[in-house]
Amino acid sequence: MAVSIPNCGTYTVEMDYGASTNAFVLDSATAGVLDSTDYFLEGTTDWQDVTAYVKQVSINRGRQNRFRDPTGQPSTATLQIEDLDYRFSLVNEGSPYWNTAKGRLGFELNSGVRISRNGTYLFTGIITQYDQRIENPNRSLVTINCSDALFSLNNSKTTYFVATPERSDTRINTVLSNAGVFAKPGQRVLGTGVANLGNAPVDETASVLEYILRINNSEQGRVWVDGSGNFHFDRRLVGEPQSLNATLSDTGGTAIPYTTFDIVSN
Amino acid sequence: MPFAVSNQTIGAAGTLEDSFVIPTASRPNEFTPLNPSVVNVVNVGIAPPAPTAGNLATTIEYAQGIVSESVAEYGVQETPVVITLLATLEDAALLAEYLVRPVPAFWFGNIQVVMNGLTDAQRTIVGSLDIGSQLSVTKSFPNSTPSTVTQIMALEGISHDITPDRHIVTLYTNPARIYTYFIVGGYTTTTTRTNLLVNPSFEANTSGWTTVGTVARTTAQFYSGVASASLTYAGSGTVLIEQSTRPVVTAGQTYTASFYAKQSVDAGNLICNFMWYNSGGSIILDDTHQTNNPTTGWQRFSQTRTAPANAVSCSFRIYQTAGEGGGAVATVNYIDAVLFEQASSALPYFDGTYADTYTGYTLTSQGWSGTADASTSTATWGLDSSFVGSELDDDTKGLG
Repeated sequence: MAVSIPNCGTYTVEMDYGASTNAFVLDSATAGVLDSTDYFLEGTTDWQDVTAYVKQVSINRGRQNRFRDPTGQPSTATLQIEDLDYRFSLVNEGSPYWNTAKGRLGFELNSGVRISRNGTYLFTGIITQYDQRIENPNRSLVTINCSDALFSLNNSKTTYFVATPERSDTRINTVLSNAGVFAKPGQRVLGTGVANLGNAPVDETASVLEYILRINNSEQGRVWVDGSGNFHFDRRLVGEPQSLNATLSDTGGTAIPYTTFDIVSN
Repeated sequence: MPFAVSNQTIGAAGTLEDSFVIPTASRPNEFTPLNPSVVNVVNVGIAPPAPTAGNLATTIEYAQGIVSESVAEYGVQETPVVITLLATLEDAALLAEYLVRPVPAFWFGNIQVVMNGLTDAQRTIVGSLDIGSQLSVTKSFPNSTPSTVTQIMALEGISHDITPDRHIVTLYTNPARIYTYFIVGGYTTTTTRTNLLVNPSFEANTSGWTTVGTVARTTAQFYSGVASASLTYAGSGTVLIEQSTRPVVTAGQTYTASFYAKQSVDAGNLICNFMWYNSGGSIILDDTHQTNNPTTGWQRFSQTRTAPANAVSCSFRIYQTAGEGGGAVATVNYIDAVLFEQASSALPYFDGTYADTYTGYTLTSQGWSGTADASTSTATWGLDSSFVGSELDDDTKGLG
């Protein structure tokens, strides 16, 4: 269940237990029926609220310095779990998260993870690494590393298409459509690009992310995935800032106070 | 700082290897040179055409943007040639201009906020911040000038560290504005001057001047532009120039006239003086005749006088005459760059096209009131010490 941190908010960490509960199962009298409204080819998510077991969450999104760091790096989240009853253990067949159909823990590589505060998602992604450490006699510590959907774009290749002269955001939209990713309504937030692209051939050997970053090389904007898992493409900075989302100050009043900051040089 | 873009070509093979083969993960920011604090030479290539049977060795075209002043100050800080997907060299030049960073920048970054110490409203705002959000960050500095600095920043990254008793948010901010070094600021103190003479430099002819004796335009000698006026003195008589239409003046105001002169042989004196006229067109004062002794090199002479009561116009005359120390030797007087303005001393010469250096000021504009060389001219200078809004005042640079 969600956990309230005093003077901070209510936090929820959820992990997808697996897609097996209502997945399409071949040769099953109930789960193998075509056009079923209850069983699906890949199943639907089965989010488990694991907040109560999480001791620490670290989320890193975006980049620190746009002059030095590349954009388009997948966001990461790390969950530290103190597994008192071995429910997160990779070997505990009695765990409530044990997937009997697969014969292994339901939380595994590519399982979904989402973290929210007061209902606003701070991170949405998948598990990329799952480690369990045993400290004698019987203390179990589980570390779960996660990445957002940009990680997946690294693992899919672009498909050939005839590139035509077009704006950078138009090209990115084509690449995402060809890859069949971020296909649901609202999952692509594409700013109007500044860069005009030519008809250079698409690198078929490149990953989707690599080609998108090549497009962004021409734009020098941002490629990122927000806390809810939606893909964003921002154009390069043009003009003056339009509106402020927050005001931080050490001078009091309604401005948000901060504890430390660095004077950074590029 | 001036920014120059040129188009270049290179052979394709080596660069193709660098740009296409290296995995993205091992490339940081492709345009980042070894010293990323300053980038004063940016090379933006466009993808080469596919080789054809008739042209196997295609070349790569790229735009190279250079900020020469930054190169002079920091040495060459050059990006590699990065092959982009841009359509044209013009697009590449625009990107090069965007990427150039001729001086180091400083900004407020890595801002840490502890959620526990905020109000509910403040926590809601921080919790909703995401990449691309724009923030105003203010810091007060005791014993420092200025005492308060505010920067407008864009959020490039964000991190959350959450434990059972706290939530710390770190905001990785970067300048929210592009590095607009080419959008310079302005001067809080400017001075605008008017040269009340038409055709003050005789660039095309001697129109606008009334002459006595042998006067002509010549390109044999000149101080500025390509020509001057030659006043040939025969060793006797008078040679003279004055404006055909007398400049309008205001009684009680001080005026200074100046001109550059040289002689073919160092012989005799040049006289100048102000003739003040009233509204009826009558001379009310034939002012001091100032004797000047030019040599064979260009020299500047000037005279400052105050318009007498009832004066509405003035003729500034330059002449050589036997009766006022003209001498007996025939000589040619070259006159150029004549300036007549309301001023209490001789300031640097200017017209609508040319201006001498004005120490402590930067010329920001100049022009003719009408036809070039046939009308009065105006120029505006900014006081250098009053310059604001330069790159050092941009909130991506320094703390001012």
